[in-house]
Amino acid sequence: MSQLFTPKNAERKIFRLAIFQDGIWDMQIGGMIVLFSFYPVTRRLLGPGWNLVLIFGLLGFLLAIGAMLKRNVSNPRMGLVKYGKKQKSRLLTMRLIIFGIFLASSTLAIALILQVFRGPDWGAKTPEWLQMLDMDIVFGLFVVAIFSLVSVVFRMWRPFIYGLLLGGGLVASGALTVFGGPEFQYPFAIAGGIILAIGLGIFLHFVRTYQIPVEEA
Amino acid sequence: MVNPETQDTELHPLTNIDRVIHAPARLMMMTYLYVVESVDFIFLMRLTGLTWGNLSSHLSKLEEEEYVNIEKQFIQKKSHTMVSLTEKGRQAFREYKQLLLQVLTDLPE
Repeated sequence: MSQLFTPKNAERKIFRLAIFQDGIWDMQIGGMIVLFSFYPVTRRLLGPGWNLVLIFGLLGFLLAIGAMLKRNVSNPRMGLVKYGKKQKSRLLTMRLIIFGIFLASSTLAIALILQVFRGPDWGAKTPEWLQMLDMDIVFGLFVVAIFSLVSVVFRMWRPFIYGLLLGGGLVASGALTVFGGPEFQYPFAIAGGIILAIGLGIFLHFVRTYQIPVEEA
Repeated sequence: MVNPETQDTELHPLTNIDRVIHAPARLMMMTYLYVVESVDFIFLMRLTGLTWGNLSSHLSKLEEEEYVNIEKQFIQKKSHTMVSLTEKGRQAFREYKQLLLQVLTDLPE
């Protein structure tokens, strides 16, 4: 069924075109995930200090590339939009909710580290795999929740699928690490790689589909 | 058209409808412009799916009625033709909506 043309749906379409149509968002998310999945390896090779420098340096590079593509490739093809007060406040609310979910899951993770919820018989009653993976499951659910929210707000399936991929990748990577698997987080990296590839595909399709318009005489 | 002999403005509210907004392409443009502060010409073209020429002609019509404001702006050192609704345009769009609601709300199934 086609969507009704209402101001609300018009607003959603504006957001989708302005933020998601060119695939840059997807490439940045995928790139970041791939980057973070190398974290344990580079940490061992470089030590914690230099590793942070490397990771944040590459993260900055990734964001700069994204901004450059947006400015020089996407904007001339898609154009620009200045949001009204309502849109700005909606985007801000969404960011605040995402931050809230992040804060809640971090608090939960810290509580798990400090064993707040673990009663005296935690070890006896809880399966071993859950004891080992509780943090990964919390962060996995947090990732799924955030991407689902984005999916619902913009009425798009893509972020939801990314959430499932990343959440699943996080838990699977945690399981591999805990149970003596490889140091490199393959599942997380593969999830990031898939998102990066999807983003690249969307970007190439975008560049082919949306030519820079030439003013008619 | 309403027959002048039977014309009764109270019973024919649709005769007062704003025909500048009522055209489908312009209605779509006005709806998009209503929900943002401003968009550039290219973004409006992508949103509506209209061609350059078509969009230009509809925008000229809206500009003639002073419903939209069109101005060149330099953003990130590049020139953009930014389009926004004027206060008169917003008011006209609200009145158009009211009129349509008035006509359609009590329509029997």
